[in-house]
Amino acid sequence: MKYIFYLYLLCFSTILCAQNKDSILQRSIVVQPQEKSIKEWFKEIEKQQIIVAYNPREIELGKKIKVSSSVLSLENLLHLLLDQNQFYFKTAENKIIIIKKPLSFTVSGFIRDIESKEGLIGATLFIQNTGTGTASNMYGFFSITLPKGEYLAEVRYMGYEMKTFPLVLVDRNLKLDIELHNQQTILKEIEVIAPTELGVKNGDMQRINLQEKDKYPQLFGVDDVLKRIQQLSGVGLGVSGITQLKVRGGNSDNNLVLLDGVPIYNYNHFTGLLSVFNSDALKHVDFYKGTFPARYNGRLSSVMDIRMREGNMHTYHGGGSIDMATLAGFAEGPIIKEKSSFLISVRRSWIDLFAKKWESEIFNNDFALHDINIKANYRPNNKNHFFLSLYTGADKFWESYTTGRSKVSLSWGNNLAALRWNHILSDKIFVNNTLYYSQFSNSMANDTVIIDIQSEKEKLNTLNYTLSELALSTDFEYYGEFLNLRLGNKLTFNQFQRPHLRSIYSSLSADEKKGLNTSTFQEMVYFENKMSILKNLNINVGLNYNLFSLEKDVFHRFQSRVMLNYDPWVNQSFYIGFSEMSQFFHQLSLNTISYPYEFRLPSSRRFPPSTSRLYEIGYRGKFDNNRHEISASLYLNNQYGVLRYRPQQKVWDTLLAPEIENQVLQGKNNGRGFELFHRFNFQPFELNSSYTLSDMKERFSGIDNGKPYPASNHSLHVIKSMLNWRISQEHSLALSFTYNTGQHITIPLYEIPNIDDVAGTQRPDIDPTATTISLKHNSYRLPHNYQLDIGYTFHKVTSNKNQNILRLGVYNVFGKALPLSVLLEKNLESNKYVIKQTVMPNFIPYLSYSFKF
Amino acid sequence: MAKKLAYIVLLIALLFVNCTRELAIKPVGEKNMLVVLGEVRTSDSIVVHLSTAKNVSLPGSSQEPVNHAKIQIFDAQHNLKAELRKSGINKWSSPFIPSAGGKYTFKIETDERKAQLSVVLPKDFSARIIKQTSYNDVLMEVTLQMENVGRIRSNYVVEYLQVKNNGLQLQYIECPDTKTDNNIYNELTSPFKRIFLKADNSTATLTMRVAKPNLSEKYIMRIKSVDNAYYRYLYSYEVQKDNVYAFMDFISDPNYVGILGGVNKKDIEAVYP
Repeated sequence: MKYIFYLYLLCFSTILCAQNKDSILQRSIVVQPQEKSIKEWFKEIEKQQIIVAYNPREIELGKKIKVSSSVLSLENLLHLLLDQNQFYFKTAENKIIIIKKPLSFTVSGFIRDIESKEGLIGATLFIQNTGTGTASNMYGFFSITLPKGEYLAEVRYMGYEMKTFPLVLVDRNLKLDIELHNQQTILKEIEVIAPTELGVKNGDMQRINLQEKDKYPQLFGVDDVLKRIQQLSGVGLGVSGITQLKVRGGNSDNNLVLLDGVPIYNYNHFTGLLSVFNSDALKHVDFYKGTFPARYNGRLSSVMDIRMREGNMHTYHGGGSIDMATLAGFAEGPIIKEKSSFLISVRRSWIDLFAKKWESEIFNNDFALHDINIKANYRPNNKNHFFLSLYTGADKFWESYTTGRSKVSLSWGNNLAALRWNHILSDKIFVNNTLYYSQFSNSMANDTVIIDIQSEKEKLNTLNYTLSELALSTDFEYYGEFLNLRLGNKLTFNQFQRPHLRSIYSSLSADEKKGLNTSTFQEMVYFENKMSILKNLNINVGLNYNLFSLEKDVFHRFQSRVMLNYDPWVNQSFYIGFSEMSQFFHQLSLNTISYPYEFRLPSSRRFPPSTSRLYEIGYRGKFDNNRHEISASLYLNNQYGVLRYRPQQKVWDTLLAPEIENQVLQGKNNGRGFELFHRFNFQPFELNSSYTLSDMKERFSGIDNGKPYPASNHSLHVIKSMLNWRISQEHSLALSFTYNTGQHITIPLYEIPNIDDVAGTQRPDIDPTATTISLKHNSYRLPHNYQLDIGYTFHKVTSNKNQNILRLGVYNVFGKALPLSVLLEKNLESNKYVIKQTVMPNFIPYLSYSFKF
Repeated sequence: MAKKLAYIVLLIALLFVNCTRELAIKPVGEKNMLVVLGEVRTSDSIVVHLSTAKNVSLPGSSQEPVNHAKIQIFDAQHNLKAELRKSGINKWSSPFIPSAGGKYTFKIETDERKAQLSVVLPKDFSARIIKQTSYNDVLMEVTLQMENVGRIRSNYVVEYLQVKNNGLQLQYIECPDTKTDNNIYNELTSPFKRIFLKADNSTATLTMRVAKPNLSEKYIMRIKSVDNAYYRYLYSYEVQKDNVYAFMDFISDPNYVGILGGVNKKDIEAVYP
């Protein structure tokens, strides 16, 4: 039914765009079939009491046209006489006016940084006094078609100087490379250019300004883009200081995180204190929590499209930083000036370098993380551009007790490689081809060393897991006069190595007997179309089709995306949207922190793909010369077929059901909420505040008899507020406050007699404990949490454009931060339960220093 | 100096590792929640336990007996079949023996509360030992076969009991049978006290290992066919006996805790192989 509605909407919007049909055009005209000049045919029409008005200089009146029908509609007759591509008709009572279509020309090219020559993503080009404009795509390309004439164009990009220039379209298409100055590097006061009129129309998309890093107090002093996304409304913190994202009640695995278009399966380093994104290497971040464009699919809750910098094509630059957790450095520069450049960025933890000091005769441990980003690009001409993106990152943790022969070893990491070819097919058509490989693997070695009987070698009781993805995609972007169309296709092969024990006991595993490797194939086709229905009413419709196959299990998913935008006034926009998403890999995790016990399970007949339906209505607007920005949205988010561990599974002890299918339950989540955001810019201060009211219920057949219960790690009310004070060009201060109502947990409430006492049986072991039951799953709400962070930044740009940045501050100055974990403990002496929370301590100072040259 | 600074910085970072906050559970729920517990068996007279629950969040709350209550049993046609009488502390009983496949409603009225619970007794089935061998010096391996002609799906709970002067004592069971929920979910610790088997066919087999009976002692294998809710309860109960923090969410009604299991049982005396 929904597909019929969708097709209807698509057709309807097309009809609305079409020229209005008037009854006079449908009037039947009776003529003598013969060949006459156009002027004579016009006279024939006028004989039927219809006045024909036209400019004789625009029409070749003497041209002979043969008409073979005797009865035909006026519209059909006019189409025979005149070229539809050159003329259109207006009607008024008994009058028909023939108007020549104005000639149109296309202006296309790239918007780039003047110094580095990197393309600027999402830069806007406005044509003044016309209300029209366009935005550059993910590679800086833009294209706009305008009628013949003279215009004044205005180009804007966040953190860059605005540029205006005349556009004269007389007799040919124009190719333009527009270059903008970065305000930071020209020693000017940073003026944050608020999202432009075009930006307002993007519904629930948020563009993260990477140049605003000074505004955010950060744990350890690490600038982490995911922690900045956590400041947005609708994004749950889950745990304080942890980069697990819970968007609109979804789980952390429901976020599609793309680095240069390549999905990253695990976006956290160990425990999630840091994400895998090194800010030195990042250029652009778009975050969607709704109104998803059709080109995205594969996760249920959100999309983070993160793009790496390409490297300066003109001069060599570098930089470095040290914070409480990591050391980082980067270098960039031209390989062939103006044609090719590179960027290398490396980050590594430094604590492990000192941790060896703690090693003793009985205890050894080691922890390390690293990220390496490499990007290179080559632009042989303005029509072709090639990119190579590489990323590798990993965490390792190892400790051993030499006295007890006991060891713990954890490791996990991502490896990505992407090769991209941008090609401009015509002034209006941009093509992007990508071939990429993404791999995620983890392993967890548990306590004991096992002697393999066959090899007589020691083996750790290790759980290993690997997921690899190889994909080839092509995307077309068409920039028409009335339509903005995107089409794309992606073929994906996944190799999935099921989690397995690498020990002598693994011979008993049913998984190993069946073979550990599973391959899946996925085909995605999409189209999306952005167009104007009426002057202030725009529609963005899209369809995403996915075929997913795992051996004989084949799934087809057609998913529609619709967003209607109504902009009654400048900078005021109302939107309504509907999105369907699907996820073909289920993740099993422990939810609170990022830990190498996160496995993915491909969709199968037993566990079909999970899907979500998101309905939302919202408003975004700016007032008072952009000093106030307000957005509000209401949403309903239903997720189906989501998985979780059975509550009785002893996941931490790695004592699980032999078959992964028996470790989990499949159910659904129902979420709804209201989100409000306000930005108030009163120089030198800026106040950002957000409020989220959301209710999330989970429903699994094996829990609470299938009745809905409050979701874990979810807060009903969340308030986030941040005040920035730009004391001077070099000094700034930031205060950040968050408040969450308490999260839900299950507690024991009633002690009742043991059923053995009732059934007349005695247990063989001495068991003095009564049976404990809870009232309802997750029915107990923990106390509320709040936190205040404070940060100071000294940012000095020298005359030769070198930058020195010193950040210091205190994380969690006071308050009760969201807990890392919550456990119940029974005091056997008092026979009472207490709730034990592992929390971040108060008053964690941080210090970091970075430089760029 | 730089070395000292590095140590200080590292110490600050390590503060994360172990900072715990302890909270008492704030008072919630009721002080005198009524608890109705019982196993309604086809071959035995009916015994129901009535008490109050101890609310762990309320100081001074404890499990208390219920002294006055009226308990009546009605059949599916709403005919009164029996009225239970107090027969001990917490214990209310009746000589009425319910029949297999019957549906009964228990109406309970205490001085403070009313409760109404329904129970459906599983239909009749047969159980027998089809194979019995000596596994080692102390264990024997027994294969049971259960047949249930009238119904396809059944939930079986198997116990190995030693008959003692003061009652029946559960004995340990080893179970290599991969069809059992004990092995499918791996949530109970072996050796088990109860074996849980969901049967999708009218005939089901179960292989288990139990201690060889002494000639001087009597052992029985008790095979219970139970209703779905009671099967889940018994399973969760065994999980909790292994892990004290595996709380059961089993409140069927906000006014009382009611667990009345419908049971059709067969006892087979174990003999030395």
